[in-house]
Amino acid sequence: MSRDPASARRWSWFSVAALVLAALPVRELVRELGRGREAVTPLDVAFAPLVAALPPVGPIGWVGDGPSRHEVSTARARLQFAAAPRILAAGTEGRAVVVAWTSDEERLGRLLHAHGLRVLARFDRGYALCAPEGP
Amino acid sequence: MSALLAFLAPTLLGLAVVAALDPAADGTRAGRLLRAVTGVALGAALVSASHAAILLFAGSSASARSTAKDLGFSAVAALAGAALWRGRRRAPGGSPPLAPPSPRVPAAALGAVALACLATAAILVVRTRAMPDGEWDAYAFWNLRARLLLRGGGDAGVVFSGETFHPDYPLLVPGLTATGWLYTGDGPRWVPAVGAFLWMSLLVVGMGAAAARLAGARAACLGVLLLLGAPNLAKVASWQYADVPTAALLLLAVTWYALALREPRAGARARLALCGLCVSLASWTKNEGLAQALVLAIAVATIPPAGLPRGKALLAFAAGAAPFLALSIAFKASIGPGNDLLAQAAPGSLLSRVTDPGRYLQIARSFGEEAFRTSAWNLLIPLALLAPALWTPAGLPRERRAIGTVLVLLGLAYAGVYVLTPKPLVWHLSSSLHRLLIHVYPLLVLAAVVWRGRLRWVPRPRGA
Repeated sequence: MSRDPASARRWSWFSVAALVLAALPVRELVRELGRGREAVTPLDVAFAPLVAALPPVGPIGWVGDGPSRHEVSTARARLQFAAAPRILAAGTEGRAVVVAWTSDEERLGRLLHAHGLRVLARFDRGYALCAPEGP
Repeated sequence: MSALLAFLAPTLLGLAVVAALDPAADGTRAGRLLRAVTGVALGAALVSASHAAILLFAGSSASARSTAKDLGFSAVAALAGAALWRGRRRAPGGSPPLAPPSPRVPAAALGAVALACLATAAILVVRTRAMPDGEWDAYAFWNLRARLLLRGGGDAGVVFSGETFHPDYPLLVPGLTATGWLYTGDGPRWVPAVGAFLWMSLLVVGMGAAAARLAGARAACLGVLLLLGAPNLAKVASWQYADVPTAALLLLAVTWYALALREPRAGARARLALCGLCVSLASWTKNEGLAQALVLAIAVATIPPAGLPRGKALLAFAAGAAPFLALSIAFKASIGPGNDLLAQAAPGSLLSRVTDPGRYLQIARSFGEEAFRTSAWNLLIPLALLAPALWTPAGLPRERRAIGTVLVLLGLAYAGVYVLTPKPLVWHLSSSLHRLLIHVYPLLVLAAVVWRGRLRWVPRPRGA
């Protein structure tokens, strides 16, 4: 295919521009590879012991405390995904089983006291399976 | 067989519907590709809607895989396949190509496009391996809703429980994921990741096909490269959210609108129906889709195709939008609980937010800062916005006005949500603006590459 010199020059510039733009995702890929992320445990694997301890049906109570609302929401959302179709319902009222999450031990003590809960079992990442204290 | 039918039948139906609405497509590869992308997108929405309904009404995943459903899907596949075959045999010569024949694109530019696509695919793989369950919204509600559809035993109270995050969000993405899980076993992590890859592919191929059909191969190359040059796109796609599907559907809707503006009356109506159809699929994907449908309806009513009265143009658009828009509205009205933004809005506080000038300044500042955030956009948003200053405008003024109107109205609609939001403004902006701009960015790119002419500072050749 023959092209006049002006057209050929334009196409050369176009090719150069295309290669420069293509370098952007390549640079991003190199950055991604260089980040060296740690392997993340899938939620189903991470929560398998806790989910196995939950009753198979019915809503489960949920209480949480941490430095920010976002951290509490994240802890709840992660467990909710793994525990589905069981629904984590906020609060303890009328619940035979309650999952508590706190970012540290001190908060856990306060949370248990505030809601009248006793610990049935402890799990990784700050989760505890609890039940209301008896009369 | 069940799995194959579950995806094949709705996809064939989607392709047949698009082929029936756009029978006079030009015979170009770009035209066929655009129809195929639209058909596959419609097919995906049909897969999602049909299986969400089946899972809700069947009561269990075992009965959702029943033989009766297979027979129904076989009949749909056979009918849609036959319609496609007949349409192919009867296909007229087609209208002449819309874009002037462009010279062959140099191999280096094609190589650049291939390189960018490969790098983006690799980014998706790397990021998916690092986040096997997707990002926050994915496990908090998009993929959670899919799990609840599959495991909830058809109990709407469980599937759309008010104790979960955003139970009112539409079901295109969760429905597709639930369908994948229904046939591959409950919960393989690659299913939503494949869904994310599919929508990213539809966005990229859609951009290439749209730009090629409207302005030729060079515009297609540039469009795809500018799209993939923004790191935010691959990042959000790997999160398994619904923003990339929404962006793909909005891009298709605006492309069919632009094509309608170039067509004589009969073809224009069909393309407006396709525009309405695509934007209605966006409303089945994210709440923003409803705002996008309203924006496009206003644009179609304000700038209809030449020779087509406003009422008829709007009617054609509404006819295409009706099925999925009705489904989205019915879902909102009956199954989905109220939206959190509306539920928390009290009239008094609403007035104080509207009249607070500080909110407007904050929103404008955040929009500006986000557009210039190099780690997300590589300055490609300012570049695309500057395009009209760099190029002498080309193409039909009506098309340029139409896309300009859509962009301005979308910007106002999104900014309006931030003005009215009852959530803390700074938090709301920082957690969502980078995703909302993904809906608009492909339109900016399309406008920059399709309606551009000669560089302003390059003198015209003598005698031209």
